[in-house]
Amino acid sequence: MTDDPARLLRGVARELAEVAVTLREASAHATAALAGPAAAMPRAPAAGLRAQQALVRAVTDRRGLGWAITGGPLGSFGARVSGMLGAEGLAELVLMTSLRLRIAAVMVDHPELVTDPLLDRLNQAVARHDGAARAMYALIRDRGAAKALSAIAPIFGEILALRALADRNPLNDHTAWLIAGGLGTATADPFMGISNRLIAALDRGAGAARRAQCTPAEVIRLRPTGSLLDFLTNISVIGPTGRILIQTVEGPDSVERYVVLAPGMRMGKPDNDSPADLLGAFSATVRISGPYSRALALAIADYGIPEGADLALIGHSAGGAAILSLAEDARFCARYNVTHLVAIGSPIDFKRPANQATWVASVTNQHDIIPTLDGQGAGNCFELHPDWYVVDYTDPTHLFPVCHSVEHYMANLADDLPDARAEIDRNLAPYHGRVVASGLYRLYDRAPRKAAVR
Amino acid sequence: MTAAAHAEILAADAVAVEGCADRLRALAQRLRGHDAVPPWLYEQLHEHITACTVAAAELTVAADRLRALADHR
Repeated sequence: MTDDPARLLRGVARELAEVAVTLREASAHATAALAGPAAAMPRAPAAGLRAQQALVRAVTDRRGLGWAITGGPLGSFGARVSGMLGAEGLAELVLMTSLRLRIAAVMVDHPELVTDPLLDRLNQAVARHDGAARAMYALIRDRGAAKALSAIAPIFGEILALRALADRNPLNDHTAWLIAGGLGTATADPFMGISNRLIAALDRGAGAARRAQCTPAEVIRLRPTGSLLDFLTNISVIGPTGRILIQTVEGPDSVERYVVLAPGMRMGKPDNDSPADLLGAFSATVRISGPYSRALALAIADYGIPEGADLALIGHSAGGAAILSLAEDARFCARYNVTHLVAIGSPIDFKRPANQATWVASVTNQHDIIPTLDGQGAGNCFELHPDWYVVDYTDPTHLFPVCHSVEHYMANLADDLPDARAEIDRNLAPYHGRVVASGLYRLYDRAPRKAAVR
Repeated sequence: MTAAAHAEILAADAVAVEGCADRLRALAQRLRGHDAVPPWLYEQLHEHITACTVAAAELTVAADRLRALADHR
């Protein structure tokens, strides 16, 4: 047994989640048997009735599977009744125990979650399934929304999933299972249960990219060489402006390689002409392909990168999610050799590059709420990508959105995470060298009219 | 799906759910006395073990009755 208490608790949480999944499957099978025509046997009514009685007992007995009517049309009805009665299934109860353990594991590394009376009140309320909203309101009233969100960021996913399982809204239950079971990106918001994919579908457009010019001030600040901090500096220079930078680097072996630098969400209206707006950031998290990744592909094609060339994709925030979406495209990976992918502060837990040889690094601050938007944060107890280089850390600055900025991540990598920086740079060694060419692109949801290009 | 097919699935589920009870029992045993484990966990685990045992028995009864129903055909 491990001596690391947090690791131990996460291991137990994972086992409980697996048990919960087994119980849910059994519940669904029993519901299907009850709902199907097989149990209604006109030629053997007595035997049919006995079978139905046993099935009803199996899916409603509070001493056993609890309220376990799940799956199919009967499951939808059962979920509504469960919502009205507040009845819980055993599978959900075990899953809640798993989530509470995930929170306990995070508390080992974040003692402030216990010592802070308002956070402790929130945790207690969530565990009791009573008064969580009031406790959250008290936290926000006392600290303000930004500080409250920063404080709960390490356990944000767990709190949302616990609340979704305990509330009387059946629409968000599936999302709670996805988060708590580590099964996938949340398909609905954990509060109301509004479909994420429905919202993401509003982010439309084939994507477009037009060459742009750096300002003289930007040209001066762009780094002339390649390294992790150089590339992140360049992301900081172009900023969240709806633009991306492609660079040609001459490696230590004199081979030219290419780096795509994708900043985060463009500030302004939630849905503007940029694929990197709020809607695009959301869509990049929950969908495989969206206008942001399609526009990136068009910019790369326009830059003139030769087929088969080595390519490193580096992104911050929504840019990280977008480059992962691009790397998930098998056709893109067949055209270019995506050797490295570095995502900083990005929600990418359920994305996978099509090229299995791509080296992936993910760097996330546990108080940054953006990487947790796919439902997995510091409390994650699943080995979602054992082959990735994952740096999930905490620093004394707990305030969001400061801790989400690329500049803050750069400072952390420079001063607080020297080993992580060295490891990423060791892997990025083929891209260490002189920058011999750069191309700046402005990205669009759809091709702009000439007059609109700026 | 036939009653016999449902019966087979539920019988397998009963075994799996009993397996869950065993797994939780082993977990509680393994964690006993470990400082990192929150005290509330033991009570929760024992409740879950009891519920899994009851659920496994009820699934077995349901599977048996579905088999009996299938035999009437």
